[in-house]
Amino acid sequence: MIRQLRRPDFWTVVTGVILVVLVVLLLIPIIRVLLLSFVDADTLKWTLGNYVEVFTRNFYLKGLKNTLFVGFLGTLGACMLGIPLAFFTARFHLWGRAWISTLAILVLVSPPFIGAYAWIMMLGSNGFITNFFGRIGIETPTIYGAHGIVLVFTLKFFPFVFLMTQTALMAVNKSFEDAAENLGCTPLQRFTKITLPLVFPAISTGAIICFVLSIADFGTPAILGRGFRTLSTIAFSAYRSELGGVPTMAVTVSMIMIAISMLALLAQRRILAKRRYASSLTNLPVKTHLTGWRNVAVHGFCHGVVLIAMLPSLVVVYTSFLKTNGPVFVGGYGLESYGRIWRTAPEAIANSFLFATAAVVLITAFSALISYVIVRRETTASGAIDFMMMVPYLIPGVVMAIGFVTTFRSGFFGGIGAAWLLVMLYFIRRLPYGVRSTTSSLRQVKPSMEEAAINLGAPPLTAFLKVTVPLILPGLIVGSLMGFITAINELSGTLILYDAGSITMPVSIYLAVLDGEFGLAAAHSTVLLLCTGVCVYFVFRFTENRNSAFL
Amino acid sequence: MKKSIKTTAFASVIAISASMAAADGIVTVYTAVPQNFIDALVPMFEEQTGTSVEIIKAGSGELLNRLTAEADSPMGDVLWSVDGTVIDFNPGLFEAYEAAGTDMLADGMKQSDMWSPFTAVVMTFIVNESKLDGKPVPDSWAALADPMYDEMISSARAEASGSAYIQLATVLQAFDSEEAGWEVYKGMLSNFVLSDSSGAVPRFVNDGELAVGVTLEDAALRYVEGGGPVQIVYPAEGTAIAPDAMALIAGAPNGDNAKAFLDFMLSQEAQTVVAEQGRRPVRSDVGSNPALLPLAQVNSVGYDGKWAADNRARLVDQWKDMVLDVQ
Repeated sequence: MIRQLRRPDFWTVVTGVILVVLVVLLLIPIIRVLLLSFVDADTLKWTLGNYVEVFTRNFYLKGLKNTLFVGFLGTLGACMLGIPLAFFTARFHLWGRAWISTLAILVLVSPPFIGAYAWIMMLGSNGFITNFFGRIGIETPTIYGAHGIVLVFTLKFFPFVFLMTQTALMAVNKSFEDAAENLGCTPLQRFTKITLPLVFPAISTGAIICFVLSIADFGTPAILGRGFRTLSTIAFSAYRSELGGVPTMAVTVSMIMIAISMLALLAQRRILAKRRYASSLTNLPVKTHLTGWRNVAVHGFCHGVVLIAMLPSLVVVYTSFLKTNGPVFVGGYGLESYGRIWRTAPEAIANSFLFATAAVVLITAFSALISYVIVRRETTASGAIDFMMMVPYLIPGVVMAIGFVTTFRSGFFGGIGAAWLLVMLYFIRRLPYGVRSTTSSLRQVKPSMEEAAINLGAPPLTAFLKVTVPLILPGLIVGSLMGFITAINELSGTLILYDAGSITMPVSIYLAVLDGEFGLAAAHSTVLLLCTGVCVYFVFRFTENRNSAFL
Repeated sequence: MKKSIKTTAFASVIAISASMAAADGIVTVYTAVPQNFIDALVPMFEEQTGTSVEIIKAGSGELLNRLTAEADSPMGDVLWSVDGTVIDFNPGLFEAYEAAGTDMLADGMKQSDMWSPFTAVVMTFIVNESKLDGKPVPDSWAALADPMYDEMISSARAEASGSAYIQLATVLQAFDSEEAGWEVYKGMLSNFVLSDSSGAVPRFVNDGELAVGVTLEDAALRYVEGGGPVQIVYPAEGTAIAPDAMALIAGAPNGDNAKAFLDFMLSQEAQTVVAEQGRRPVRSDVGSNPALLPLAQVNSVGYDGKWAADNRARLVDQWKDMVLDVQ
């Protein structure tokens, strides 16, 4: 008894540490910014006027409607591509599975801003696909407008649904499906009645990420919208307005976006709370061989989807090798773009990798601990942590970064360098990717195994490291990978925090686009794509070899 | 013990980075200037003064937000190349400084005590004739308002882009009255395809996505000199020849180097490079780039920067209202 008082339970200490980190890095900065939405920009007095304006002016209401429209349709489209792709790759022997997964991940790396420009090069009024069909007499609709935005969101965000669902599908207990088959279900019935509900937590998690990212995405509607305004473009223009002063309207509109995302998340959690599926990862599904036309069709679908989704990146790579004179592509090929980035690129690459790697090391460690606390320790504190874990990816990078500047650039924390701030920003903003993915994995693991280890005398930390972590490793790896990829692509927050020594690749890309220097932006993007692609491929090879041991 | 070593190591890392930041011989420049100006001018300054320049480049709106957020502990020394009205609008963030060479400025270039002019920006059209579908090349602001150019003209947003705001104010000054100007601008705005990035405007015209763009002369010149299928057109009613600004940031950690930077940018040498890059120099003793129409032949509206600054809030509000009607 006395011993217990002196040494609090291991997981209680962990919970305490997590809470402190989240309060300092998340709550304090956000609250400092949130207060701005209740401030009148001119008089600096407290007011509700900003919210009144948003909910009464048609300008904002139309933006709200548009945001929900493209958000829902984009998410729907992402599910329609992601779920079948996950099912096919998880259940059938496919030629080039690592390749498909790598491409799907690379789609997520599609560099900021330049991606939407690539669509214009293909399907714009003077795009090469438009022109190709124009020459043979077919009028194709241009990419501009709501349908173009939905198309781009679908192709840009489906990998989240795909990766989450695939991981879950591989861990489903095969006995359920076998039972359904024995009881006379057709394959389709078995899929819709047994498999789909079993992986629903993962699908809905992927879908929520798509939805949140769709409504927060600025670059796509800004470049393809042509008058189709969304809340993100409204907030970003308000923020980028040169008048300076306190960005109250930008923050207020951001708060509305945050509220929408939060409602969607709460809805998902309510639905999930009613369902509990656990499997012991003992009777894992086996992959089958397809033959005949089915084989061809499945291969065609899987490779087709990732290739089409990769098109913008391929166009960017192609663009980077075009011969340029100043900003103009003069025809033919050349390395001028690379020549011009040669001086600055190495520093930006090194910074990007350094910051993202440092952040991901933290993300991985914290994800494992946090998901254990959330799933296994049902206390008030763990509920609070679970709730706070929804917050970071709802908060636009701009809002988070302004909070960081006001919190950490002066006063008690003053003097922290930009590089440290960027690592902390990436860590806190991308932590939910790791936690979500790991939590999904952990929910599928029965607690009985860790309990067995503890009953046999293992200390909590040993039981956690030796039993739990290996079981949730696939989820942890996928989550950390998503964290890494989204961290290395972070732009909006970095733009506010970076200093001369800490410029990153996305910032270089953005600045080149800002100058209209698409050749330079394409060269920067290609380098980023290449670096990340190599990492991703090796991680997949690694996990595949590991998985194959027990798949 | 182990912990204290870690703490010491951490503290020394902090101390090293702090001492680097406080070291002599640097100047931190926040800028929205196109990269080609940085590449041409910054190495010259570094060589001449031995001061190393740390560039933080972003859109001018982002820079202003940065400055506001950092107001309690400024990190930057100079704000280089933004529309002067944004400096006049936030006087608390800047410190008045009269750069050496101010006496050599051309007429009308010194418009505020808060900032010095860096270059003179000329507003022009960039036109891709092959995308006009046989319609005539528009040569005046009034022509841009003609409904036949509907959805053919690229422009940045006057609420978000400094250059687009200057373009709006120019049109309002180019006609007999402000009301007459608004009448023309309304027609233009209903033809506009608005872009969130002013850098994209000449780009999209050059790429054939749109036929006409309202942009900066030097941006257009870079596409012309690059061999793009575009031409520069000067509006017949007259256009703005407006200075863009640079200023000393209040509480600048390297104030003296910042002043040296501002002095250098007004020097004859630097202004000659400005001319080479296609902007109009602000010194009376440096001539324009010969590839451009001589300044004497450019019809100027005599752009009134003070009026544009004083009326900015009102005009932008009016612009926002008009967008709701015509876009």
